[in-house]
Amino acid sequence: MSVAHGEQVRVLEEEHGQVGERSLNWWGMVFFIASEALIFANLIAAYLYLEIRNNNDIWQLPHSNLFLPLLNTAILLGSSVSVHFAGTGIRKGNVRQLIIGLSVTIFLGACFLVGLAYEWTSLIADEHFSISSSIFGSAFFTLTGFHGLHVTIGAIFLAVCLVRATKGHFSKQQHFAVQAAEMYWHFVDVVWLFVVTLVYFVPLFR
Amino acid sequence: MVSQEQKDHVEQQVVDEQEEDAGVSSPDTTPTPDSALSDDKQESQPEAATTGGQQQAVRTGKRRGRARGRLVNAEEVMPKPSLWPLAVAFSIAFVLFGVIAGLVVLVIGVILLVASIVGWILERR
Amino acid sequence: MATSTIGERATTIDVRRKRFSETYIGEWITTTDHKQLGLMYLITGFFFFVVGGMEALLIRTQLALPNGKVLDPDTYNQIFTMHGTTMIFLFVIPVLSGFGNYIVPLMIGARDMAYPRMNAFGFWLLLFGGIFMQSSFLFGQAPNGGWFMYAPLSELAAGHAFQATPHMNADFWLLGTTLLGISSITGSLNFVVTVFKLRAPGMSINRMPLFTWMILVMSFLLLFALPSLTVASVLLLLDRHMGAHFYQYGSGGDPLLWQHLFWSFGHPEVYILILPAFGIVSEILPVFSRKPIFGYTFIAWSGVAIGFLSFTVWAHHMFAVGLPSIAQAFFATSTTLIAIPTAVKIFNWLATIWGGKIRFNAPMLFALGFIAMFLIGGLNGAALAVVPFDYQITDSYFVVAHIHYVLFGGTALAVFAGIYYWFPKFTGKLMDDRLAKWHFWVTFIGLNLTFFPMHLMGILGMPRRVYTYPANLGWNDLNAMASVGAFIIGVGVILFMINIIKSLKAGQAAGDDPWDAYTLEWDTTSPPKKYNFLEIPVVRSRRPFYDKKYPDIADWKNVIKH
Ligand code: HEM
Ligand SMILES: [Cu+2]
Repeated sequence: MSVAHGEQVRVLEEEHGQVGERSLNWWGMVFFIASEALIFANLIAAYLYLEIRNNNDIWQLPHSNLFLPLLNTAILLGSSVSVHFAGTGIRKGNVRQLIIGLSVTIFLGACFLVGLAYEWTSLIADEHFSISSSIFGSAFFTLTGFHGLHVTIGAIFLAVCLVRATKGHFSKQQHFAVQAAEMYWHFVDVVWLFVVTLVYFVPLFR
Repeated sequence: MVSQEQKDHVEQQVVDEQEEDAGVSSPDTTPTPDSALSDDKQESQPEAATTGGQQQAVRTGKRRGRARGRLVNAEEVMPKPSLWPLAVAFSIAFVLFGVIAGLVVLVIGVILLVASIVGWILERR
Repeated sequence: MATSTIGERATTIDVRRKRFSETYIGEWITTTDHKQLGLMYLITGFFFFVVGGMEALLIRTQLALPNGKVLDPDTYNQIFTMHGTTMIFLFVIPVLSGFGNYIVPLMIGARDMAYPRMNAFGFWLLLFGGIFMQSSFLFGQAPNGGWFMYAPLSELAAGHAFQATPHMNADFWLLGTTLLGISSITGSLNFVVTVFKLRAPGMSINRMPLFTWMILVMSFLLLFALPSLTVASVLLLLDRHMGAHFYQYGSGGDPLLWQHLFWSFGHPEVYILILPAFGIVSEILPVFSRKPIFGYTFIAWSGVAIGFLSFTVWAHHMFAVGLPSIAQAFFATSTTLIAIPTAVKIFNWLATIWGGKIRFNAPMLFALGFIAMFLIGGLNGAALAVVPFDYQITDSYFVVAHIHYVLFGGTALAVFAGIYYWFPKFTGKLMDDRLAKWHFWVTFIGLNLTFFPMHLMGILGMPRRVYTYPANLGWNDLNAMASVGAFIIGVGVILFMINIIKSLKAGQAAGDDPWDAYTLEWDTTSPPKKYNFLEIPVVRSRRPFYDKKYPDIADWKNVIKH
């Protein structure tokens, strides 16, 4: 199936997309995120299904402390701003802005994860509330854990971008990895809004 | 993860030569898919006039009646072979096998996975 | 077909050492070429078809006579579970994506898929996932909970009282399908973007060949259905290994949650398995009837309608679990609705053949067989959608008859049709038509002999998946018939393999366009050059290659311009 050296084919300009159109990879990323979003949709559906089935007990965390989740929400929303800042930077060709934005975002992401870990450990150690202690525990740790996993993946993705940015891999024209990481990060943030509402705020209204 | 591929596409779309502006795709082409084109001249002529210029962002591409373009080496338009897809796939399978088989396998799998993903990303395309 | 401007430049003599990717093995394992990967998918798929077929023969041997003792009960469970799993995840999906990989870029006039490396990645994941799954036999712990792995059967400890699946059986299934799921996700991303972005100039979305349409719909279904399976599997794994309680009734969990999650994947999945088969048939029928397809728009959009509807019917697999009757009414209605777009397709196909100059070559025979068999499968499906009837025959052999008429009589026949149709393109050789007809008739008789009696067994009350049965229930003759039929199908498969080998070795040269076909894949050499097209074709109607061959009566000259 190999091709003789020097054989030539004709290439159309539009074969690789028009300038100004979304790139192939952008579309790929969109559908990938859509599929990921459905993972969360299913998880949330399962959460609600089980919550409704256990209608008698209210699914509220033992410590019912809203400070940490609110702080974490603020952190994540802030990180969405900073990652947008990074993206705008590289779209203008400003690598410095990119590096600053990415660093801040990764830092905020790490803070979020520390906050989550703190909440988890205090729940498990102090309240004896764990994945196996009750069905609510199973649902709570799975949902927040899945989201935490995605934050971790997103942060690693951003970190890879950061390393590459310091090595000068990105320019105004070529920075798809950054764009993808940015999309992914925004996605993770939006998911958090659903998670936090479902887990912390909905029980308040019951 | 596929940023290198992206680069490739970007590079290729940037190059845009305007050879053969005369509007004839190639002198006396033997029947090719566009052999019927001569009948279509009137329809496509105005379009050709615009696309010959620099603003190819104008989306005439899909309806244009003529296959113009430049000649390149066949190897250039074909995807390059790569061993990394196999490596990443193997490591993922290994990691999941580690879930069953125990921590040692799992750790080896994770190391393999990280290494092969790095390889994939860094591969020059 | 080289034009005067395009030729081979004088080859500069190149004395460097061969790269790894140019050695024989290296070329296979490093390839990112959609055609080679397509073939690899097909070969892998057929390999697993043989594996799954052996398992089926074991099942039928065990059930051939009452009180059979060919397998022990636990092995029997593993065998029927792996039969279903293998056929669905390792035969049908790979083979269909193999066709998709090979044919779609050619059909839409592209030089490759959108992401060649991802494409290779998907293939390797499939292969390793398959090996992973089958390797469970080596441990003597193959999955044994049925292809839908119902909780709490698949739980490690269901409640505190008993251990349901204490060994790794279910883990192999859960992790294996996860691997295959990732593979399918990458594959469908690739298809979607390829079809949306890489079509040749002029190939608007409603000039796309129907096979491409169906692959597109299939890809969307995979993208949006697989997450349910992933979530279901993760929750079950957490139950099994982290002590969670999702599916444990006693602790506030619910086994029905598994069923809901699984079937909201599972029903779209069955349409994933059939839509590309619709596509294959919609390509073959017009070519062998010498007419354009009838009702192109209807076939395309009924496929889309099926895609949407397939997300709304999942609980028809759960009529017997005690859903509220309003839910049962809803799901019975939506299930019946889905029969409408399906019937639309059948009528369009019939109208395509109607009045055509039919050539009964092997691809056409298989395609016609497909219509007949799928019709039966669809009709008894509609019967299953009637709730009171379903109460009686759910989980009986009637359901087994249904799934095999749609999947074997439907998808598998279409897959064979596709092989006979495109083999000349893949290899440049024709297949032996006489042997192919033998293959068809043997398979056709075998499949009806095997699966038709299953309707009756079901109505007579034989539950599916039973290990064996006593002699006095009136099921003996029917079971014996089914087992004989299964071996006849086996003979058919052997004929097919002989034909493949024979044609590869000594098949007649096919030329580039042996069927006088309509779509762009035939506008390449056989097998196509690695870059597919010297010059990207320009499309002006739904049958671009026909236009090119018959410029005087080209489709686009007709009054109706699409
Ligand atoms: C005309 C459209 C169809 C209707 C109305 C229909 C209806 C049904 C119903 C109601 C069931 C549940 C039976 C039960 O478990 O009690 C069922 C099972 C099934 N159907 Fe269909 N079906 C249709 C087409 C298809 C197609 C096209 C396929 C696949 C190619 C398919 C594959 C299956 C499979 C695999 C099962 C069994 C799942 C299992 O329990 O193992 N069906 N169908
Ligand atoms: Cu169904």
